Amino acid sequence: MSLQARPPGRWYFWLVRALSAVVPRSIRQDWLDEWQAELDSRATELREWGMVPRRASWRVLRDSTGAVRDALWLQTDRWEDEMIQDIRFGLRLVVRSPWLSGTAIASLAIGIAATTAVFTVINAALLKALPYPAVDRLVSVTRGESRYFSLAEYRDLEAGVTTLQHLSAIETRDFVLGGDGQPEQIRGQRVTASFPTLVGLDSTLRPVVGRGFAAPDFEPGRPPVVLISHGLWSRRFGSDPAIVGRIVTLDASPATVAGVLPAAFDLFPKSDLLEPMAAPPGAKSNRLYHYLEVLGRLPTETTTAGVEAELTALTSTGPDARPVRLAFVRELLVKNVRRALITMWVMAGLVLVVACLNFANLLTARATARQQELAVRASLGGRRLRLARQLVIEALVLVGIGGAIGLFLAHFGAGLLSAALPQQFLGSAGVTIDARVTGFALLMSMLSGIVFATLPALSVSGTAERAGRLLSLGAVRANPPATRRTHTVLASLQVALTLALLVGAALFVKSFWQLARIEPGYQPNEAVTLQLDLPARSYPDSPSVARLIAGLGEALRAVPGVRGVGETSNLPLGPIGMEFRAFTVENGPRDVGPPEIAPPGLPPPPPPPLPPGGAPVDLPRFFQAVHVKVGPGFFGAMGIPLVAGRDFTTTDREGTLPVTIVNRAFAERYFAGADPIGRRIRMSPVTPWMTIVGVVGNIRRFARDDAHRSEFYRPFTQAGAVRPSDGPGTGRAVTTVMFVVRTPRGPEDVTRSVRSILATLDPALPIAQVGTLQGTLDDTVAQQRLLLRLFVVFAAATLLVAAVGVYGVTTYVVGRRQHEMAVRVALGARPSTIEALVVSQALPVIAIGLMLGLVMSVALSRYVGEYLLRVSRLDAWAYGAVALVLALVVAVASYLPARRAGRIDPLIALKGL
Amino acid sequence: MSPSTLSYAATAVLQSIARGFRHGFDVSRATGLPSGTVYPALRRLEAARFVKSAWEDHKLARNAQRPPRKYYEITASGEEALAAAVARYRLLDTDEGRRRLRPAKT
Repeated sequence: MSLQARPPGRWYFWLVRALSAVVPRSIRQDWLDEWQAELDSRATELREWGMVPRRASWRVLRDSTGAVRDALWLQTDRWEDEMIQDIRFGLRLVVRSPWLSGTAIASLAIGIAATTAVFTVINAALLKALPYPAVDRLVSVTRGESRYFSLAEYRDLEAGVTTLQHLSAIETRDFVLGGDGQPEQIRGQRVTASFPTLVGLDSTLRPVVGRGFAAPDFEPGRPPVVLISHGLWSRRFGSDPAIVGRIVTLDASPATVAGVLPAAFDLFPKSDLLEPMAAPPGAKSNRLYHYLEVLGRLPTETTTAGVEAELTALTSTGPDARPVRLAFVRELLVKNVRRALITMWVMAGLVLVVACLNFANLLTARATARQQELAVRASLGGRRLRLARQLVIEALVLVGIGGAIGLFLAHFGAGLLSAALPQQFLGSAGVTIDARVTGFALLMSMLSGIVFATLPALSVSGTAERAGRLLSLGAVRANPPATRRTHTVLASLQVALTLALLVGAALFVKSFWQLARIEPGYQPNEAVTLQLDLPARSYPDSPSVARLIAGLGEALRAVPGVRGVGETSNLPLGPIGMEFRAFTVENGPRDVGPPEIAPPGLPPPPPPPLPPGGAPVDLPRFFQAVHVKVGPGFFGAMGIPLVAGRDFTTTDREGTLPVTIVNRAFAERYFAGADPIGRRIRMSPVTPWMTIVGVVGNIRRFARDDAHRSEFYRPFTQAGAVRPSDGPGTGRAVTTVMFVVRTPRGPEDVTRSVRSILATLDPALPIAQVGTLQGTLDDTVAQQRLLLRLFVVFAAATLLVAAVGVYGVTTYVVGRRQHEMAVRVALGARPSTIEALVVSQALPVIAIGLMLGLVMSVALSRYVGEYLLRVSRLDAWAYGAVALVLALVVAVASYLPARRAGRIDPLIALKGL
Repeated sequence: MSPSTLSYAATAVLQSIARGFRHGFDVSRATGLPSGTVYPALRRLEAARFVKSAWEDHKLARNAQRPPRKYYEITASGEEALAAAVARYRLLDTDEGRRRLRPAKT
């Protein structure tokens, strides 16, 4: 097409000429001619209409922007075409080298599945929206380790506080829910009047049926009303809307159900009830009894420091004058899970990084192998960008498949994870793969794909271009040094990261093993435990409590298969009934070193009551120890050995000689090895002396790895009257008794027996907290076991990915060097020489990887240190064993292809070329 | 490109060609569509074989002192596609549409 007729020198012609550069070459001239005709027509028309030439030019210029669109349209058309070609080519490559592609896809799928599964759980546990109004300013008032205040202190706070809004007190306690059906023990909260506004029960969280609390409900003397949880409503009342107004019994007193809380209200885990706290003013002014949680809302623009100062000043008059701190409720709700989840996420991230390194390594190997093809294409005019784009698209094909499989696997992984996690990790929300999770998986896939696929593609396409320029097609080296270096670096990083994860797993294995070896001090197997809460209304004093214990114990012992029954106020590793009490030893030591301190979470013991006359008390002679009430037969049923003296008997009761039994730690600490039998202790200057009649073995009471603590045991029958005023609430105090039943029968079986026995003794009494000693013991290591499992699973996945990666790359590279190997064998190299040659290339990987990995492990071990018990985070055993295992695995993974290389038949290999 | 995927703009372009507007500039003026819409539409129509194109005689262009023009012509399958598309886009076939698409007197 000749263009001689073109009018000279119109600048907009130059514009479309420049633009024509992006138009596909085959139609470029046509395109240019057509646009020149178009612009010329336009200019001519404008001239004819009488526009001045300059303005005409501008109009034409504006119209010529249509050419840009036209050119781009042709361009995208071409891109789409070629991209589909590239994708098709990528899919063909997957089929052509299934082993390599399969490895790459599998490692990506594992990495993306791991990160996405963990993200699913994080999404549910940490990122879910909490339904309470202004939840980010909802604070809990704390003091020292404790979150509990006495009623008197709360009244001081309430009266004086100016900085916090809607200050509320919450008392958590157990209720016996009766009325129709089996009596059931449920947990509930009694709350003060501003609580409904604070948490939005009158705004965002209105009851689903019925009404919320109104101001009159909090006045003393009003008929009691309650709100029940959504869970209780559906479980016990079959979601019957007619529940509103129904009268239920709580601890044998009637209360009206005012409404049902929405399912989203989960501020108190495992709680089923809200009740207005209508304590009369002046009731229970005991400042030592700390049982109220205090919540409030921080006004906007207020700092926590100012509030803390005010609250500290308000509570400093009491005996417990420690500075008050504010804790954000959102933090408290996720505190326990956040670190564990983040640790998990880091682990999953490491798996993904190792998978990506694997991916990059395999792609580099494949791209290197295709250098000849790329060189030919480069020499035939394939542009570098075009070749790189093709490599990236081929990689993205793999990423796409891997990501899809990964998302699919994550669905199951998240299910498994949420089943393995404790319930409070997730709350009521549960885990689902939602848009955010899918987006996350897509993002991770794309990021890993683009980063780890583009780099090798770019470097290789560069070398291909150079090779193409030289046109020495046959001489392109199968394994150029630059690529070998890339392999070494990538594989070393993989080994290093794998080592870090393996070290974590090994530390947890060792920690768990150490923990499991700790003797609890009793026989945990074949022992069912259950709890009875005896309301003070029916069991006001120790004889009535003792009567029930004796009656139930006797009947249970008669049940076939029951070898022993024991009763106690506190079971080891259980929080209920734990107490530290003060005591003094007759003619005992003045000083036994630093005092034993109550474990965190347990209030310090109240000081012993003063004698009425106000006689001076020799305070330094008062010590503190664990105080436990038991029934006769407890030590036998628990399997705690009697070391000296005698057990309690049925003859130890009110009116007979007050007796006590101490444990070995007590005897050693306060009698320094002398025989304690016959010595006396007492708990206050006004209570009678108790004679020590026996010594029993130590048990782990507070935690599996806790030190042995001094303990003294007393019979229930001599433990004094039950004083309802001691307990929280009004007239709802309970005496908690735990039963240990030694029997091979299961908990349900025992519960049935107990229920039938109670039907004659006290039909209104519910059974709470049925379990086994072994179960309680296992629960104490639940978190360790969870982390252990996660670490082992993640570490195993990483080891697998890394081993497969090393194997895959070595196989591929060895395959590419078949010719060279064949020549070597033909020239007389022995198989062992070839093997050594191949394996020796893995040595730098092992050496660099292990060294880097050890450094990384030491750095990362800080994050798991706090979960490790009885094992240092720098435990040499763990590091050494893991390094050895990893080195072996890498060596084997590279030896297998090496052995094949050594057995190469030179004739076949040379003929093949 | 099947008739059912003809866009409104492509239909308008095709119809103006059917009415005797022969090159891109005329089509653009007749339909009121910007050239950046008209030319891609022409390429699509040509790829779908609804129109065919030919360059005008060079001598003619040289005599008229302008670049040669590419002339488009509707094909038989283009007629069919146009009929189907117009049935969908009724508006084009109103009196108003007809008046606007009257051939220029040249």
